[in-house]
Amino acid sequence: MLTVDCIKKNFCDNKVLQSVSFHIPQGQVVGLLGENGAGKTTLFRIICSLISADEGNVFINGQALDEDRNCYPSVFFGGSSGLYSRLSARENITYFANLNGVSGDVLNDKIDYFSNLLDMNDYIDRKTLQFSHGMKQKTALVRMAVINSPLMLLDEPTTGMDFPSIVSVADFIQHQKNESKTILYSSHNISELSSICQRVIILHKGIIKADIDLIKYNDNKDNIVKKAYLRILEK
Amino acid sequence: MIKSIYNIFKKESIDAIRDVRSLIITFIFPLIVFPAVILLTGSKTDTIYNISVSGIDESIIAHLQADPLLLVSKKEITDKNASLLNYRIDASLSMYKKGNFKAIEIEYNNSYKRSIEALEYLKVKLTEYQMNNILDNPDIKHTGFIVTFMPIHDIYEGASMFILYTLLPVLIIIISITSPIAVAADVFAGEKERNSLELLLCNPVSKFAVVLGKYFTVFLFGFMGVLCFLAGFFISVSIDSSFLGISELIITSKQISYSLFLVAILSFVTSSIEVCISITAKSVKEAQLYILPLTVIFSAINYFSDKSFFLVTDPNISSRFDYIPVLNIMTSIRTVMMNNDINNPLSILLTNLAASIIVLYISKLLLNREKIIYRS
Repeated sequence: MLTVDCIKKNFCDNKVLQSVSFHIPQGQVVGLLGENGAGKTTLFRIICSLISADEGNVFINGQALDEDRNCYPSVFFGGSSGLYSRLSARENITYFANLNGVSGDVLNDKIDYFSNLLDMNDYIDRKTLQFSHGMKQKTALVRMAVINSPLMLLDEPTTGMDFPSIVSVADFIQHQKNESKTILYSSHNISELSSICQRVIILHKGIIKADIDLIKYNDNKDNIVKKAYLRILEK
Repeated sequence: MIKSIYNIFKKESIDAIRDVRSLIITFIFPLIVFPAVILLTGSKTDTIYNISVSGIDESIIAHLQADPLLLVSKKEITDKNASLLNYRIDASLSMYKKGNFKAIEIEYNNSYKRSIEALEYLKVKLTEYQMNNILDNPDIKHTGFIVTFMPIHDIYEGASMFILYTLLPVLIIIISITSPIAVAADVFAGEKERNSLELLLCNPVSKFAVVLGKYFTVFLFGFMGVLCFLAGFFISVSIDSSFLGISELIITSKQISYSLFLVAILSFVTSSIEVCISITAKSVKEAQLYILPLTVIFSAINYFSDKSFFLVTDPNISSRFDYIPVLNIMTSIRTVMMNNDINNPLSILLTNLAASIIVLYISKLLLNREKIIYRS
């Protein structure tokens, strides 16, 4: 589904990504772990064609980013929900859905379904101006879910969320996993990644240092990832 | 692509309509600006009018001198026209006699509001004098005289309404730039502030569609702003047109349709430039800061078109401006105000459309640049 092939990106003299390569097959949930400045968000932005790589290619469904594609990833950037404060949550969701060709009853059914799933019914028709951080994050998640893209990119979606909201997000990811969506999920929370993802890629200073397949481990996934990450940081 | 443009346009319009600040700047301010200007500048005060008299009967002079609002000078003025045009005097009275027939001619500057007021005041005073004379001498048959008045034109030959030809185009420019300023600044710079621009660009929508969708919103608000301003202007004129130096302003349907055509094209151009500026700005405030100087630049173009229109008498020379975007709109606004046809409407439409499309294409190219998208 997603192939990242030898991506390099520099910002002036700062080598942000150095020959990053990996492949994610359809239906897999992959975690991306790395410290601040490791290059996670830059990698997301390159996959979304927001910025171009200095070298290398990204293929989605076998199609390069510069080709006329039939598949666009749905994206979530955790730093800010990017909602329009004068629109209601439903209007925000509808706007992005319409841009992706989703509309009418199909869209309304999806919005109702996900607002139930994330416990948003009380405020789905309210303007997002006075939403709490968690409410905004949930709205942004529904916004990406209704698009129905087979590839989802989530950049630190639980940042700033309280515990019940994090549980809701985990349920949401589980639901998307069941729908055979391919998900690239970045977070600083190792426990969260180990419980949600089937595989974790550790990115350190723009280089992939580890690619851990968690399917072969039944328990203690958390510790395995922690140990690997600490080893990389110590080096 | 059309559906995407429509979706973006619809969302931006709803977003802007819900913003009170945008509504005030776009609709309320342009609507009240002209009536407010007229109210403030047109308030009646006890002005003293400078009058020069020549060959007038002493009894009439005495009647005028008795009025504290009239400063009557019997000094001979060599060039009355120059004195009127340079505002040294507000009106000049001369008397002509032929047998029993007497006529007083009042010369005044019809492009100067005070001079027009002086004319009206003098007419009242002279009528008052005649009435008093009849009452005092009921047996006299030929007591009076007739009053004629002669307007002195200022340098704009044929243009008697200073506000219409000079002030109105400048105000239209300023309003067409400032009325959509809140919307224009918000459509891209606001998206950067909210971090929603990168999300928008992740969608399967071409960047040109994004630019066009937002551009049409800015255009709509700019055009509506100018319409509100024109509505305010016509309301002011219908209530009191004396500030134009005329008793009644007759606006023809041709003038209205031409004016709408021209302000729509002007909004086309100004909106495209504002969208382009909004893309390059990193914040709403910065975008507004960069957009505001456009009013000065466009006013300078207007000043140039003003000079070209009035000072270039050769129609072949003035027609060269038909092919320069913006300048041709400014020139044509004056042409329409004089109730003439627009010289070359097709060239005005095409040149300004071409200019707008070039600016919008540059905007689309700017959206491809990382430094522009992440300049926040």
